[in-house]
Amino acid sequence: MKKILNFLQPKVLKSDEATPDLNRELKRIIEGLLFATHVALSLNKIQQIIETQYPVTKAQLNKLMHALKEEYQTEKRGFRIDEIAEGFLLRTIEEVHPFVEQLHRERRTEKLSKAATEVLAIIAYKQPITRREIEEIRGVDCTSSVANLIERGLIEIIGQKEAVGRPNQYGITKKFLHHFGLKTLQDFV
Amino acid sequence: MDIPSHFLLSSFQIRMSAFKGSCANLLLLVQSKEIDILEVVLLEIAHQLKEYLEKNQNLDVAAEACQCIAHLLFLKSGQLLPKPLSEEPHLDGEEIRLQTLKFLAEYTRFKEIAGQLTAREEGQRRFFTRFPQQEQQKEIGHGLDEVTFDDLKLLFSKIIARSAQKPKVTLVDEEWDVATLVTWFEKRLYIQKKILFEEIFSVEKTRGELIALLLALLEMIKQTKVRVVREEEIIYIIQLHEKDS
Repeated sequence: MKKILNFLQPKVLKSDEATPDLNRELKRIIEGLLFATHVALSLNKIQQIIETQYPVTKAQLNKLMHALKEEYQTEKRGFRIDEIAEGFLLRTIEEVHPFVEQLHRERRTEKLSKAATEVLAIIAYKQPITRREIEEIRGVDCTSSVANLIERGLIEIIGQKEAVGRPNQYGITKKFLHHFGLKTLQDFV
Repeated sequence: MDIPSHFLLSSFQIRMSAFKGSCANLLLLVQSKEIDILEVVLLEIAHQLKEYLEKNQNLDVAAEACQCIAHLLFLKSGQLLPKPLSEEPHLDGEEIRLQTLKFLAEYTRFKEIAGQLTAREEGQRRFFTRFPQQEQQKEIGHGLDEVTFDDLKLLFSKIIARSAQKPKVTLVDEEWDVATLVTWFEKRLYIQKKILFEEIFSVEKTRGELIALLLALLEMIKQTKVRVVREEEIIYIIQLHEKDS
């Protein structure tokens, strides 16, 4: 990595002066960052990291990220770059799923119950929303579903309603986007 | 407004003088005003569901039926309860029906969205990312240090064999509860951080107690509360600090 970074001289890192060599090195850094994490990396985060040593623009990173994404597709790699939770994430391709699944059988997470999924759908569409308001829509108590969703990190308390008792208001989390493979909530709503 | 088709095909069928079919069908007819909710005896439906569940323990069907009955109950109570004396504009029968229909439409919409979320969740299970903090997980996951499960099995079989040779004096009806033994183990380890394996699994103990103790030990290893280590051919059970686990 040191060798790569030594190669990048600050003076040549302006997007209009970017050379093929420079782009290739930057792509290697992006690739390394994506490889080393299991959470989606935003362009801001990548820029922040690279900028600790060299100036780089977000537009430049965006262009390189998409070039890298296309490269993986053209070269028919076993993984690809997905846009999830307002960031980029390296994931295996669908075709290799039957094989990777055998490697990581114990990794399968428990599926959400029907009731919990319904509560989640209501929160995703109506956030911020109180538990009482969810119950008004579903017609049944949803205390345990809400507790379960909080425990799984799919929803969180995002405020309190200006009403009697100041009840908590719930909203979805970034993990929700991760869980359902969404770039933003607007992709689904 | 659509009610999901699988709801209509539920295996739990209501039998009443004026109606025969699934709970969701009844709900559909009530909302389309073909059946007056006030004429539906919900207690009878509850009895029939209870009977059904005694024969078929299908939780999905039970959950769907309960949901539909809850809705019917909600609708019926809405019609039966006296109107609150509030400043809100008085709603006549037609308006209540419209409001109910609006409510049902909204609920059905969220049911459909939930269905889409479930499908998406299933689809996402086909993609894998890297493991989070792999090294740390590996370290925590091990409860046996330099002692294989086979070692443990061998040691345990020896103790059981020796225990069997012990002359039996009286027969006592005994019941061993793993959860209680886990608590006992915890207390013991709190006082004595490191215990000899053979001290816990002593030949003085009965076969039933030894088996329950082994199960308790395995449970604690699983919960990463203890570690089994070998030091100069002697096997010890040691407590893991909370920060380690």
